[in-house]
Amino acid sequence: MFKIGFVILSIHLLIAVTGPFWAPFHYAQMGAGKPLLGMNWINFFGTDHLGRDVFSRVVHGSYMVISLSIFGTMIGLVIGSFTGLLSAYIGGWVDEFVQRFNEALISIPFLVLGLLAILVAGPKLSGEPILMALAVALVYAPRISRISRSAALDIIMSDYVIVARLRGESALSIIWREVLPNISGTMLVEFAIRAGFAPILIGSFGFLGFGIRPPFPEWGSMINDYRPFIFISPITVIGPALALSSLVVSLNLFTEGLARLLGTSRKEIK
Amino acid sequence: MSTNLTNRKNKILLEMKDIKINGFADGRWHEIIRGIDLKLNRGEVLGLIGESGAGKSTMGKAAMGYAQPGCKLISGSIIFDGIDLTKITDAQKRKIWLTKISYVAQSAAAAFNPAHKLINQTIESAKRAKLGTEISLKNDAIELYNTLQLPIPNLIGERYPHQVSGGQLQRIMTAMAISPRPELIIFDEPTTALDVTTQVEVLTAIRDIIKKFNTAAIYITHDLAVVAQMADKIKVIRYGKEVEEATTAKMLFDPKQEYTKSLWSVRSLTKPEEKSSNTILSLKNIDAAYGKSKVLFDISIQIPKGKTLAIVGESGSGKSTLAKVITGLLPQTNGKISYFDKELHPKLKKRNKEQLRVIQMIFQMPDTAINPRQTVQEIIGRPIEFYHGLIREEKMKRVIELLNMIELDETYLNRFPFELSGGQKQRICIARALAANPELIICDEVTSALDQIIQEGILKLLQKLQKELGITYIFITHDIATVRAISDQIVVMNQGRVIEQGMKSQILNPPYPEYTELLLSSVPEMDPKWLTNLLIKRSNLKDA
Repeated sequence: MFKIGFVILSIHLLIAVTGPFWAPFHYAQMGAGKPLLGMNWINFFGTDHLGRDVFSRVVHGSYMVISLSIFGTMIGLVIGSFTGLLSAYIGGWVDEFVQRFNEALISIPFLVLGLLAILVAGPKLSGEPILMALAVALVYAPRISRISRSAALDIIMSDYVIVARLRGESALSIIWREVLPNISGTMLVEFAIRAGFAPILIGSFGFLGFGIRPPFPEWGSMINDYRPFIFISPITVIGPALALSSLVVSLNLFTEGLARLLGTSRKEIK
Repeated sequence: MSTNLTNRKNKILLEMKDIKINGFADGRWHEIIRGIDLKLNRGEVLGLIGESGAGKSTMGKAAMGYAQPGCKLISGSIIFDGIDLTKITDAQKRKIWLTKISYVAQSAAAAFNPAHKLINQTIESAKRAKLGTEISLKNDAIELYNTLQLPIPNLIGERYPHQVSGGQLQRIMTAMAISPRPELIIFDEPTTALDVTTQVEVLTAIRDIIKKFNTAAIYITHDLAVVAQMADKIKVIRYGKEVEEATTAKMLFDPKQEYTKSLWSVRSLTKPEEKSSNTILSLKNIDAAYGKSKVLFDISIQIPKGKTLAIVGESGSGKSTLAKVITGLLPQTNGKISYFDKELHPKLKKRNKEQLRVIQMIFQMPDTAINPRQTVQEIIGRPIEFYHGLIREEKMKRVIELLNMIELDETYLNRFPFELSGGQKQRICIARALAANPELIICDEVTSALDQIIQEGILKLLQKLQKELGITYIFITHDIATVRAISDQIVVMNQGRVIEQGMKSQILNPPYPEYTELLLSSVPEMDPKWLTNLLIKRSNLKDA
C-alpha cells in the first residue's frame, strides 16, 4: 500500500512541477474545444461551459493545491508545536489558558473556522493563495498544539530535563535541545497525516466559493463551477474530483507507511 | 526430606534437560538460555541466582512449560511429575498450572486485579479446580493468612488490593499460590521491590509456609543473602548458562568458580571514615511539603567538605525529597540552606549560575537521566559549554579528559545511549556532573538499578574521584551495604524526620535507637542461619 501511495504521489508531484510546461492549453484559454464536449482525444477531461480544456486546468492547478497544503500545514505545525511545547513546559495558568483557547478553537467546526478567518481577513486578501495557507494553518495549529503538548509532557517529567533545569538552562533551550528531538518523530507523523487532509480543506474552501480568485483553476472551485453540468458532461466534474481524491488517497497511504516506519525506528532507539 | 515422600515412586519432581530458549528483540532472535539442566526433588527449594539479563526469570517460567510472548523453546525436555510439558497442549498445561504449579511474581501490585476482593482472588484457582466448597476454601485462606502472620486474618481478605501495604500484598500472593496446595511454587524476585524491614516479614512467611506444606520451590533472585535463607541448594547462571550448582552451605563458604567468588566479594569494599572540620553545606530546620501534605520535619544536617555523607531510610522516608529541597526543585517552607556561609535561595530560578554549578546531581535510573537523542559528546559537552564557555577543540579536549576520568575512551564520543550498557550510562551521568567542576554531588540511589559487580565499579570510581578532586558526596540510599562501604558520616531518616546522625562508626555500632536497630538488623547477611537467629532474637526482645 505504501508503494502504491508512493507511486501515485510521485506522479502527482511530477505533474505539479512540470505540468505548466507541457499542459496542452493555458488554464484560461477559451475555445480549446466546443463547450461541454465530453471526453475526447484532445480534451481528456472534456471542456467546460466556456470551452476551456478541463485537463489542462487540472494540471495547472496541481502545484497550487500541493504547495498550499504543505505550506499551510507547515505553518500550523510550527505555531502548534511551539505553543504546545511552551504550554507543556511552563505549565500552570499558561498551560491552562493555551489549552482552553485551543479547545475553544477546536470546538468550532473546522470549515466554519476557516471560513470565518477568510471573512475576517476582508475583501483585499480574500482570493489570495496565502490566505488559504493561513486558513489551513489556523485550523491545524490548535490540534497540533494539543498533540505536541501531550507528547512533550512525558519528556518534560524525565530526569534529563530535570538535569537541564538544575543546570540553569532557559525554557527555550530545554525545549530546543532536550524536548524537541524526542518528539520530532511524532511531529513528523502528525505533519504527514495533516498534510494528507489539507487538499480536502483547500478544495472545500474553493467549492464553497471562498477559494483562490477565478479564473485560477483551483480544484474545489472547479468542481463547484461544473456541478450544474454533471449530467451533460460528467467527466468535467469527475476529472478534477478524481485528481483531488487520488492525491488525498495517495498522500494518506504514503504517510501511513511513513508513520509506521518512524514508529518502529523510534521504538528501537528506546 | 520426610519419610513418606521417599516412599513415593518418583522422588524427582521436576527435571529439565538441555533447555534452550530464544528471545526476539531488535528484529532478530537471540539466545537467552543456552542449554541448562535443572533437577528438583519434592519438597526441595532451589535458589536461582544471576544478574539481570542472565535468563533466570525465563528459566523459572520454563519450569512451568511456559515461554512468555517473544520467547521460544528451541530444544530440551521439561518433565514435571512424569509428564513432559513440552509435549502436551496448552489446555493440558493450564490444568497442571491450576493445581500443581504456582507462580509468585515480583510486583504483587501488578499481579492482583484491583477490582476484586483479595480473598476471592486467593481461592480462585482452588475454586476453579473444585478442590472444595467456597466456604471451606475461604476458611482455608483465612488459615493461610494466619500462618503468614497477616494482621486480622479473618477480615483482611475482604479488602481490595489497594487497601493493604506492599508487603502484605506480597504475602497474600503467597497465600494465593499455596491455596491449591501445589507441588511446586516459582518465586520470581518476590521481595526485590520491598524495603528491608518488610522483606524480613515476607521472607519469614514464605519460608515457614513452604516448610509447613513441604512444597518444592524455585526461588529466583539476584540477592545472595536472601537466597541463603531460603534455599537448600543454589544454582548460579550467567549469560544463559549454568556457572555452578551446589548446596547452600557449600556455595556460600566454598564457591568454585571465579564468577561466583566475585559475586560474593562485592560487599567487601570498605573505606576508613574521616572527619572534616569544614562544612560545605548546612541545612537548618528545614520543613517541606507537597501541596498541603508535609513531608519533611525540622531537618538540620551539616555536610562535611570533601567527605561522603550517606542518607539512609526506607522508601517514603523523605530522603529523595531532601535532595529536591537542596537543589531547589522543591523550595522549603521553612528553614534555610547555606553553602559555606552564604545562604542559598529556596527557589531554583533565583539561584545564580555559579551556585547551580557547584551542586550537581546524579540520578537512580541512568536510562532516563540522559537524553536518548543526544550523543555522549553532546551530553557531556553541554555543561562544559554552558558553565565554562569552552567550544570546539577546547570543549572536545575536556570531554575526552572526562571520558578518561570515568574509565571510558574517545571511541564512545559519538555513541547514543542505546549503544551503552547500564553501567556505562551511569558513568556518562557521572562525567556530566563532573563537567561542571562541582564541589558537591548528590547521588540519589545511583547504584540501586545496577547489578552487583557493576555497582562495585561505580562505587570505586566515585571513591577515586573523591580522592583526586576532593568532591563532597551526599549519598542517598536504602542499601546499608553501600553505606558501610563508602560513607564517612550517616544520617538515618524515617517518615520525614532525622532519627539519628553521626560518624559511620558511631551509627553502625551499638547502642542504636530503636528504628536504626530495626533497619540495620533487617539487612540480610550471607549466613544461612541469619533469618532464624534474627527471629529468635526479636521474639526474645518481645518477651522480655
